[in-house]
Amino acid sequence: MTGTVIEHRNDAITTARPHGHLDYLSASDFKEELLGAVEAGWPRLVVDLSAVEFVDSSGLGALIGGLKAARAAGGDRRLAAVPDQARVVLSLTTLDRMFRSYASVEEAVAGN
Amino acid sequence: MDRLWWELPLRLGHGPDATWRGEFATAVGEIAANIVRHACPAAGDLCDARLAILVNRVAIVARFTDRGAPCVAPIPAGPPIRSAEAPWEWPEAGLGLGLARAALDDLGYERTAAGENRWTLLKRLESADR
Repeated sequence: MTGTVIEHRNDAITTARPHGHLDYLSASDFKEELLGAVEAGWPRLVVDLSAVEFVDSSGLGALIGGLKAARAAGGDRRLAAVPDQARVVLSLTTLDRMFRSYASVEEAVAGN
Repeated sequence: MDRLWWELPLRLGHGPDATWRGEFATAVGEIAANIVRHACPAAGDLCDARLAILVNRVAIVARFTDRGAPCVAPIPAGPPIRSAEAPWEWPEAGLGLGLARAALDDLGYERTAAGENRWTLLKRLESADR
């Protein structure tokens, strides 16, 4: 489990704050949590990575799966507070071009 | 790994930056996960996986050894790249070996005559000076 904290805001944006390692042990649960928010009618997602210590390829797969679902539902996926190791992984895979990244949740919510 | 990053500057006079460390940690994590997920289960989880990290002034080498099932997948040159405009085309699995390769200067795999898998992860320290 990633211990993800999901918060539905008044401005129709959902923030998801996973905790610890987004890896092969937790990725499946994390993806289900993201898909659950989209299926519940909340496709505008901000994933706050500030409490994430490590992201591996399985964690990336969960983020990709969540993005696909959000886009298909007319929403969006933004990343906030991306730590150094996660930034490296996003850069190596060029996924940093697919996810909009912001320094904080507040900036991600306000960003266009 | 944290101890390694703390000791390196003391031994070498300088240490790798956050990007270099992130790349190395990513590659080590990917190969460890690959062993645990693929090599060990096929061997009944008695795969005796070991990790040794060798450091000199030129490079850091991480060497994994295990007695699990052999790896039959070829090592790709890097992760699969798709258009940023087409997220539906991105694969959600099978990214690991390519990601590890892209994070390193060299990634080697061999099945030894003794029936062990040996992964060698090499990252040059001069690429840390950037």
